[in-house]
This record gives sequence, structure tokens and C-alpha cells, in this order.
Amino acid sequence: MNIEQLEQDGVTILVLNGRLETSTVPILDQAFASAFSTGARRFVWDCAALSYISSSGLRSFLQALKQLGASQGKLALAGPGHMIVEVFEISGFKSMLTILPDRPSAVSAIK
Amino acid sequence: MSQTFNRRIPNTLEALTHCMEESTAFLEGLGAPMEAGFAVNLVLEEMITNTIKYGYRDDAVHEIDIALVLEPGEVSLTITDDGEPFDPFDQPEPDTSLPAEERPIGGLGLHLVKNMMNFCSYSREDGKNIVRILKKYEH
Repeated sequence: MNIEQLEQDGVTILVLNGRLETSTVPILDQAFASAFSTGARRFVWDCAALSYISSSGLRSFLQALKQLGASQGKLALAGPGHMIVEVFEISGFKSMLTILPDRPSAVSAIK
Repeated sequence: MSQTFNRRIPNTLEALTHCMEESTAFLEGLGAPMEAGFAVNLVLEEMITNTIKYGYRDDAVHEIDIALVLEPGEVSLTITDDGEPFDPFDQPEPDTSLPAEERPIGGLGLHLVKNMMNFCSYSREDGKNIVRILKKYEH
């Protein structure tokens, strides 16, 4: 897992590249926490290159949602593949998440 | 023709991560579709993380056996451990309808495995937990 951080139209974009599992979850948690601590509240997580997620990865999504929900923040996901979406569906996360097909539409959804 | 991958690992998260990498390389090397690799990784991570964290009453090193069989259209996994008796498929279901603020963090791993795989079974034999899982995929 490596994460690239970009800024666009006041939105912080985290590009998730690789596998989100027990051993790599801290990388995402840290990237989010550091952006959040500098005041970022509107986020797009680009999931187009996210190849795997487990329940420990879902935990990062839930924590971010809770933190942003408590501080008038927003999170949109861009372009997750069908296996990632299946995990969101079965876990019941899909109804809590804002999922857009690609990065531009995710950015315009929350900017 | 079936292809097999067998590993015996100690009950540590490092060994599990390494085994997940090896099984991914094994499946990719055989040209298995991504669905098969995703399923195998999910089963290994969710089931074995659970065993490592909650399955033992002592601090000793324990062995966990993993047997993976890839056949056209399906992949099967058998995981054997000598932890406390625990049936992962006979546990209360998490409430997946709660809003984010009310969601407890955790408890989803077994739910994912149970609902994403085609067949799951548990048995206790000779003092060991044996979990068998089958996932079908398009090929």
C-alpha cells in the first residue's frame, strides 16, 4: 500500500494504491490523521487502484466517517472495483458511503 | 488438473502476512483470476487473524496448517489449528444496518467470509479446529 496525497478545489485526495490489510492499515490511518490534523475536512479517497480490502481496512473507513461526521466533514470514494464494492455491500458499508465512478465526479460531489 | 499449496506457519501476524503474499504469488503464477486471489486472502486474513488474537490461552508458539487447492472454477482452503474450540460460523451476526455513528468497530471479518464464500464448514477433530472453505469463480 502506498498513498499519494493531492489537493484540488479545496478537496484533499488520497490515492490508495495496493492492498488494505491488517499490516498496511496504519499507512492509511496515518495519512488521513495527518491531513485531518492540518484542518482538511473534505476528502476523496481514490480507490481505483485499491486491489484488496479486509475487515481491518473497513475499520479505517468507519473511523474516518465517524471523525468527519462529528466535524461537518465529507468523504467520497472514487472508482472502487467490483470486489471492493462487494465487500462494502456485504458489510453494510455501502449505504454509509458516497461512491462515485471516478475522481472528477467524486471531487465535484463534495467540493 | 488441481494445484496445491501447503504451508505450516507459527501463530504470528508476520507469518500470516508472509503466507498471504506467498499464496497470492502461487495463484498469480497459475494465472488464477483476481477473484480467486481476493477470496483466498480474505479467508486467510480474517480466519487466522482471529485465531492468533483470540484462539489461545497461553503464550506458547502454535502451528497453523494451511492447505489450498486450486481447480478450474474453484479454490478450496482448509485451515487447521490447535487453539481453543471455536466455531467461526456459529457466531451472532453483526448489525450491518446501523448508521456510522452507532457502528461498533470490528466484528465484520467472519461475516464477510461467511457471506462471500460458497461453502464454509467447521469441525473439531483430535483437539483441533478445522475450517473448510470453498469459493467458486468464473474461469
